[in-house]
Amino acid sequence: MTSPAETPRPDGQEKPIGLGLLRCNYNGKVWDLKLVAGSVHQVDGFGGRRQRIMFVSAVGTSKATEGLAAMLRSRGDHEPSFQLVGDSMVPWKHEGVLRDPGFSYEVETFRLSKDLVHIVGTTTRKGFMASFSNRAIWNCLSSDAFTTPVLRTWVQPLAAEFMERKILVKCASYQCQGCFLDLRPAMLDRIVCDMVKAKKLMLRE
Amino acid sequence: MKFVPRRKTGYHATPLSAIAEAVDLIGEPEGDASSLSLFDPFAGDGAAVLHLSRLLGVKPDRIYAVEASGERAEALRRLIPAANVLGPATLEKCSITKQTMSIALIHPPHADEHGGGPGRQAEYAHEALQHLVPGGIALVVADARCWKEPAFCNRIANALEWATMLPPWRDGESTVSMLIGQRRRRSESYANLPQILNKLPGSKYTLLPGRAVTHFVKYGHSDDEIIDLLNRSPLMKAAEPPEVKLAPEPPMELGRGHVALLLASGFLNGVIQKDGEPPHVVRGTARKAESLVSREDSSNDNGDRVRTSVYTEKIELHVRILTERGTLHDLSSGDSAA
Repeated sequence: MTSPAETPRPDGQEKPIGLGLLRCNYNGKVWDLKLVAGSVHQVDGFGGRRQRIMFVSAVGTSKATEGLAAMLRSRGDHEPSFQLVGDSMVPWKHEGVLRDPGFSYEVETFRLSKDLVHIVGTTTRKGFMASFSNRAIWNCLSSDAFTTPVLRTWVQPLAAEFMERKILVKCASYQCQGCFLDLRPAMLDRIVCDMVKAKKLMLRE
Repeated sequence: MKFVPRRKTGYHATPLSAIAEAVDLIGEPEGDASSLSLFDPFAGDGAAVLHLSRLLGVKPDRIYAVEASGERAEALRRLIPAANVLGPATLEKCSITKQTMSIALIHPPHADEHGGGPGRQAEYAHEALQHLVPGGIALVVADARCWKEPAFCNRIANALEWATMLPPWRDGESTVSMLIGQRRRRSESYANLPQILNKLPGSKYTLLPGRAVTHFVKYGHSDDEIIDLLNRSPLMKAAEPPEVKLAPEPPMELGRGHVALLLASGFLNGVIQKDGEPPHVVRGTARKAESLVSREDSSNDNGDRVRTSVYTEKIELHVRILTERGTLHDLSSGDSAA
């Protein structure tokens, strides 16, 4: 079992990155973008448990990125499907990935040059984090979705407990560390109380 | 943080001795030597293409080179300032007039390199061969893994009329070979490598004059350029750990109303311990909740029943306390959750 590590990086540190392939298939049309990062996860939805796109970061032409944004926002009869492929240095392939049913996506775009646009789409499903880190889990636990009193120093043991109970699972990811925390407020209450009783969480330093 | 292209596993230069061996098999050029043109779609730092041009007498301004790496493209420009260089660029993102070059040196990325592999190498080589004039000479360099792959060999053989395999050489852990061949003058038809190997009618390959290259431009961005551009994108932060908001320090001592306000906004969350009492953790959360104001049943002119419900949103404050014994107290409702 591993627990998320804080990864503070000093300014100017270099991070290697490759470009994969994102193939979009919608309503009989197929087009490609360069995949920067992606996260897929098996979640319940219409058609059973199938791989759904949770997070995608890609670059492409204006038309290609507009098409991807439309696919992520679509609610029509034609279900869009994606093929995500890593690069030659990072073998990673997920085919027939679908949009997250019943949830929308936060889509942001940034124009890199005249004919190149960067697009990032993240599911609005609560509990998904594009980064598996203590900071992301703390932000989730301290959001107004939960009212349980928690301390920042408890994040590491709590994350370990969540992983042991399979509440926190890592998503299949390319160049990011997507994870999914399937936690209800009552469940967090119970876990925190149990851990405090068992002296796994200490109120005093 | 700066994003940099993922490091490639190696760069394989064509040895100059292999080029000299290939040139030994090439005869005098047909027609005016000044019209010879040389194409290198994977030029590297340019040492090989410069050597080949000198041996064949190709003018530097008739050298056409494409290089994917920005650093090597710069080195190439410095080495042969008069050459036509596109870089950083990949052949697939360049628009170059086809059937114009007298000779091409084709050394695609090896199977162990980023973007390499027999399938890709065959595609690259096939694309590069389209730029030769009919009867033009191709020097194709590939590692042993490719030459053992029938699909790769057939792809090359389909475009060539005759070919000769030169002695291999060691490059690190792999064995690399160069094939010299003449592009078919007529439309391509099916052939395999044994059918065309060592079937050259004469002893030397004929070097034909090149044609005018009217189009030699790059479109789109190479992967390295895209990664450079991505460094400017604020959206790259989406995959990074989020920043944690820190509570600001109050500029003055808090009054009674301030405490309630700060508790509601979550700024006073944390451990509280009075002297002589056990510690407890407190958390205040303010959320909006919908509540029904009124509900009215009526009927419209058509006789249909209409129900009108009016809702309002109000702020709900939850203050919860966790004791050292693992008990939760909800101050809003006054009951205990666990």
